[in-house]
Amino acid sequence: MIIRKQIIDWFSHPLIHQCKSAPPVPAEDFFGVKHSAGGGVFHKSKESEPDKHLSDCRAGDEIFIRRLLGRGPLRKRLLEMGMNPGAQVRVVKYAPLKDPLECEVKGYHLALRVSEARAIIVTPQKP
Amino acid sequence: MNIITPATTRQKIFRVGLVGNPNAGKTTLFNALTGARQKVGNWPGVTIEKKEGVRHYQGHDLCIVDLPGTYSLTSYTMEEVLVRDYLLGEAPDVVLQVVDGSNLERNLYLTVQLLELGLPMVIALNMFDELEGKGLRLNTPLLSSLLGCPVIPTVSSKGYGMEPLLAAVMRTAESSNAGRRYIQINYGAELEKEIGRLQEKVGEAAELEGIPGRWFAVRLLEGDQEVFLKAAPESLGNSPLHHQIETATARLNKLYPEGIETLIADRRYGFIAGALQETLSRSRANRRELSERIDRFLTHRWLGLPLFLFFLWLLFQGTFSLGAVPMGWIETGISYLSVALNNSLPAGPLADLIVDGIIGGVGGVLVFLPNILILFLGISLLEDTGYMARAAFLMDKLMHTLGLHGKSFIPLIMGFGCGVPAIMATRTLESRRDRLLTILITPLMSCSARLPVYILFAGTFFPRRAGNIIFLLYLFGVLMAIAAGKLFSLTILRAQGAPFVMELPPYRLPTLRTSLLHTWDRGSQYLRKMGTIILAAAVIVWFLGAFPRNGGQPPAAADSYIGQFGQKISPALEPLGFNWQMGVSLLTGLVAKEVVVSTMGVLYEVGSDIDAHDSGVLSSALLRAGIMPLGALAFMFFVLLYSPCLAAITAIWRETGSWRWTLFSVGYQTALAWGIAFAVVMVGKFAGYGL
Repeated sequence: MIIRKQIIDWFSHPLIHQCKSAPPVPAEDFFGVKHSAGGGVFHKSKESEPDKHLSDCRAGDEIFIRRLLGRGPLRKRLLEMGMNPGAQVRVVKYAPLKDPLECEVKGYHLALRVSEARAIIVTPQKP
Repeated sequence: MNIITPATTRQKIFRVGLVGNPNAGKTTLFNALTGARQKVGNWPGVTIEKKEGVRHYQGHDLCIVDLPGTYSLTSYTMEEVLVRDYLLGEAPDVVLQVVDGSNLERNLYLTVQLLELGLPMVIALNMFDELEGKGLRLNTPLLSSLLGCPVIPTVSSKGYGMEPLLAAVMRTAESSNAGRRYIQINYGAELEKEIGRLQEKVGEAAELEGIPGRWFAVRLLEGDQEVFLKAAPESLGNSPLHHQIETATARLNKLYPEGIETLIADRRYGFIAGALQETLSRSRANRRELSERIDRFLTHRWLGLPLFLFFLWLLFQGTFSLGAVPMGWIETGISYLSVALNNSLPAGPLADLIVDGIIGGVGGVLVFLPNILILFLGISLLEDTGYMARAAFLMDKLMHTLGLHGKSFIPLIMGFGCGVPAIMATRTLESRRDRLLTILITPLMSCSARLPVYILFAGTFFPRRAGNIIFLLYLFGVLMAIAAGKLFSLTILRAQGAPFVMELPPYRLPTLRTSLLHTWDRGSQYLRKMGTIILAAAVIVWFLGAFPRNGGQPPAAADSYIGQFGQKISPALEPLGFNWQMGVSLLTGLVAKEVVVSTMGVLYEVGSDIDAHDSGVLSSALLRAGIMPLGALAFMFFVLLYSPCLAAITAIWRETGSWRWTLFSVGYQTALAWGIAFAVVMVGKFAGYGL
């Protein structure tokens, strides 16, 4: 039992430790077991907090796109790939070297570099 | 019994443009429709592959052109420009869009753009089984009437839905343009006002060119420079039209701080969401996708990279170890053939030409064929299953720091085996800049043909440390590739801001038919295109080595043209401590690097049948010739880095489509080789070793 828990810990360890206070992330662990504690729920940001970028999100977060920063090819590409403001996005995981990241949008999976995800401002509620 | 056909039905040829997102199954559908009747070529001016096929249907011919996969018709990649120009310029009789049924919402974005172009269109709703497998139900007739074009469910990997699809294409091709209904996306009052104004101004001119006025106006507002140039080529800058666009965009940008592009994308997705809401319903709860569960392992934090390396090892072993077996057969067959011809032909220049020149040249091409076929079967499997995108996902961080793309990793590793398939493997890279960069540095990975040279020289001059020296050479090649990649990406091939943003398609079982067709495609292309050039080059090199005749006999190696040339260039190699024999073998080594060893055998008159493992005679000849260990080390570095062999040069030329880049590749590597070899000599001399 302890071993199994240890394995679960290894496999479902949050990939990015940016918000230490946040609840444990995975909605479902390696064995498909549901975790009850805050599974996949985005922790609410305070009003005064600065903009949250997609690159700040952790695996399992489900958020909405509020707006895109910058102009040019990246913006165009993001728009045509369905990353338009209002779209719902689920961060699936980060690559083993912590870049790029994989997310689900409009029912399919998309990989983008962390630097590109920085151009996307997100929000926990539907804008 | 005769089938009576009405006299009015004459055989007609309809042109069908096949478009769609990448990963939507476009190639599979193309193969299912056209079978083996395909013609592969290049689009004029660019190195993007062009495939055409003909399907005979109901007494008519459908000439189907497979256009490159694109997500949109904006114009910032070569593929998008090409598709857009084809659709506007060639105006095919029918545009056949392949839509991935399991990924409707995003795929329909291109549909909307195509519909705005106003061309007659048919949608193949491909992978319909996956849509149903996801627990979704689609009201196809309703979607068809909402979009204003036929929507036909297909599963092209199983050949399902081809008959109704062809029928719909034929109906659309034969129906007149007059009754067609254009769909219009409402972009909102403010934007519509500007669209209306612009359309008034340029619409008529655009329609004359066969471009829908409304589409044209929208593109202008989106800031499409190329479209603007088409509208007013003579008056860039200060024309009234330019002014009008400027004021309109400024006004709209003030109203919509998010920008016009965002607004337009938003409206298009809004239209799609509306259409899907009416037609798509969920019949049962969605379970987490199989692909995501597979990815728990394949892109896992700890397991992902080892598994990737394992697949890579399999590919490498398959290509080079498994490929070595048929390679051996081909080699044996060729040597039997040359012996037989040698015995039956009267001795003389003709026999030499046929046996040494032509058979040798053809053999040199054929011998790589098993490698190429296995590699491309492997790569085709990696791509068709969807794993290639994961490989890029796993490796991108590492490769990006070198200025490369995640997908560059596979060609670079294949370079350790042979540069020719490796360079051909760069086709998986979409951006031309990434491809060029990868092609330029791949030859620095030490290919297997260079190993015999290292074994001979390291074994002769550094018998105790041969292993370490050879390892050092391989490592140095990798470091040079990294350095060159970094240098080029900072200078001549600066990133043009092409985003990485890449779809991770669901895992799919590849169809045997598609994989085999793909492999055969590559194999036959290799034989046809490479064969001719390498054959010609081999004959020329043979001629240079076999002439001028010395009383009807082949000359001594030193007296042949190539020997004379080698002696002429020897001053350039003298600072490196190379004698003229080394110079000549470097030249002949251009045919294939392992030829360096056999040429040395000829030049030191110990026979050309030098086996890397049985090189004792040649070793002592080299030692007797007074070559110093330092010179030998410099020579190995030179062989590692200098110009790619003829086969690789040809591959570079074919894949870049440019003589300039090919010459650059040859030039920079040779210069690098000279510089490094010279540095080795200098450091060695400084440390007190003699040359």
